[in-house]
Amino acid sequence: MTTRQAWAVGLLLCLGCDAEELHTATLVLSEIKRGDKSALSGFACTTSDSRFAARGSTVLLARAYTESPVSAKVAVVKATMVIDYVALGGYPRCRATEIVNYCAEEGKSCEPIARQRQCLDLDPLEIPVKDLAALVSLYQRSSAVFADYAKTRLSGELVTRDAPDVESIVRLVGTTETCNELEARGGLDFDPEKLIGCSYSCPLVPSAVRGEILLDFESVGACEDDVIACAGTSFAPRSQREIPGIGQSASP
Amino acid sequence: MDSRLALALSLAMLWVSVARAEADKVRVTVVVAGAGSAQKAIEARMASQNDVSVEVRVVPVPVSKPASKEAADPAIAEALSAARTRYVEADFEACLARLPDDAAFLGLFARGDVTTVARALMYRAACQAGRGATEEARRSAQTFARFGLETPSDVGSVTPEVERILTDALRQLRAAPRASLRVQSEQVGLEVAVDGRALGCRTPCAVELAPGDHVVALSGDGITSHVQRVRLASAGSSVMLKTTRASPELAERQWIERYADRPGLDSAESLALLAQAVRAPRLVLISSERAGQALLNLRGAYEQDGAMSARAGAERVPVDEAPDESVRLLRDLLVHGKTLEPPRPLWKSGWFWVSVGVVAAGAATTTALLLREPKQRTQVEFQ
Repeated sequence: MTTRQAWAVGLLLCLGCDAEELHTATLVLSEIKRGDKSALSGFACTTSDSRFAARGSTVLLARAYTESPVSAKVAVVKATMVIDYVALGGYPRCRATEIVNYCAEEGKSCEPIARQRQCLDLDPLEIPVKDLAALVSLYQRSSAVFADYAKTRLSGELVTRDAPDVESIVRLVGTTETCNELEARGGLDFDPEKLIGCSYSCPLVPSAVRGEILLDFESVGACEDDVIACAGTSFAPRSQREIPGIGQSASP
Repeated sequence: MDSRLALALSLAMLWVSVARAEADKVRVTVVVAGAGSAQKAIEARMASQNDVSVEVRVVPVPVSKPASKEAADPAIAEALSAARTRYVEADFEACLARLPDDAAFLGLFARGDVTTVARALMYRAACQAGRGATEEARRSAQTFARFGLETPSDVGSVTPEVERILTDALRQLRAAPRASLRVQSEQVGLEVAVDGRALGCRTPCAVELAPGDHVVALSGDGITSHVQRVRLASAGSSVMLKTTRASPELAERQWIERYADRPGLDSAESLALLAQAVRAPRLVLISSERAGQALLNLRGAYEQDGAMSARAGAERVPVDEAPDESVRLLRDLLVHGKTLEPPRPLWKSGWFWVSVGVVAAGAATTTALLLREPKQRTQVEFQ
């Protein structure tokens, strides 16, 4: 075969070749600085029943802490992180109220894309404690430990190889339900009693992102309700259904 | 179909096609004449030319060989000398016995040796007269006169009576009426010689001669000289002479004698004879001559099946380009002679359109590749 013929054949073969350009988008968990400690945004809400009692209130992520069956001096941190792409069917602005209002519009479902869900059972973390209850009650410390735990376990985890090409929000939901339990239960919803936290990105088209995607949380009402709304299948917070009253806790 | 069978069939078809291509080659003989070193270079280039449709046989130009002079037959000369001696010794019978007979005259006339014939007839008449056979002597003298022979230089060695018999015969011949001899041959244009003398007549033609026996000879390019005794009646006669094609060796000698190193080298007659000499149904003669410092004029002539087919030339060709130019000249001659197909226009070639298609496909592909955006994929992962 001559060089010219080889070129011709090469060109023809190139007709069938499937050139692909790979990009990477990185999910970054937003953190809240509190003194020398950090907490993950969306993972520092207290339970709603303690809204009027800041001191002694229970942080949602306390659900991730359990006492080791081996020793009372060891606490086990374990959580499941679920990443969803919530399809918007449009392009609202980034503020929580705007997203909520957008999703409340007629014809807008704001449902997660089922086939794009990625569920990660994080490996448990054992930490020595004098007293689990004391640790959990230490709001800042337990949040910081969880933040380190989540960041460490999630670091480098692949969420999707081919991000969706639709307007959507990237959502991270923390729960104590395992992936198997979620799958066995079916559907895309979570047990509100087992939620640990939730954060989400601004509306974007994931396939077009080149760089970082910040996952943050902005409460528009009761923090726990907003976490529940964030983890819900329609992104409609309970606060939309129950108008929050004055003095409601809104610890992001 | 079994793959091995298919392969075998393919190879067989390939072999057949190659064999046919070889068989279809045009065989051409090339003779190169002309300027020294250029001639060798042209011959070498011709021999190595690899045109797929032409098989070239290069033959060296025939060169002049030492001419084998056709001297008088020594036996006849010796016999004639012996007869003369016998005549002087008055031994007339011995004289007549030694003289060449009429049959020998055919060969002598064929060689144009009229002097020997004249001397033989003169001594025949002299010996007959010496013997007392005057009438026979007169007939010999009449034959001498009819052949139109000139009196030999040694006529002084015969008696005055013999000289008178010869003179009378010549006088009577001049007074006698002439007759027409029409000479024809299968091949026209052959030169006619009668009694050893060329008469400037080419067949078919007629000559005026004295009635009686004559020797007619035909000669020409590519034939063996033909000599025949003819009896011309008083009312005239017509003779149809058959000729024999000359052997290649004879044709070569004829070509060297008549055309080699002469201006008419590439004439139709020259090529026809040369083709016969080198046994070439198709002959191309390439000749070169100097046209200045390191320049040559090239001329080519193509003869096939005995007829001139084409001529071509190239003026003022640099010597170092002469070999390649000669190959082009050869191809031109074969094309003009309708032996080879002229080169097909590029656009009539299938390969041209295949190439156009490939180029177009390549251009379209390149354009598509340049314009086409590659498929993009974004993977999402945690920091």
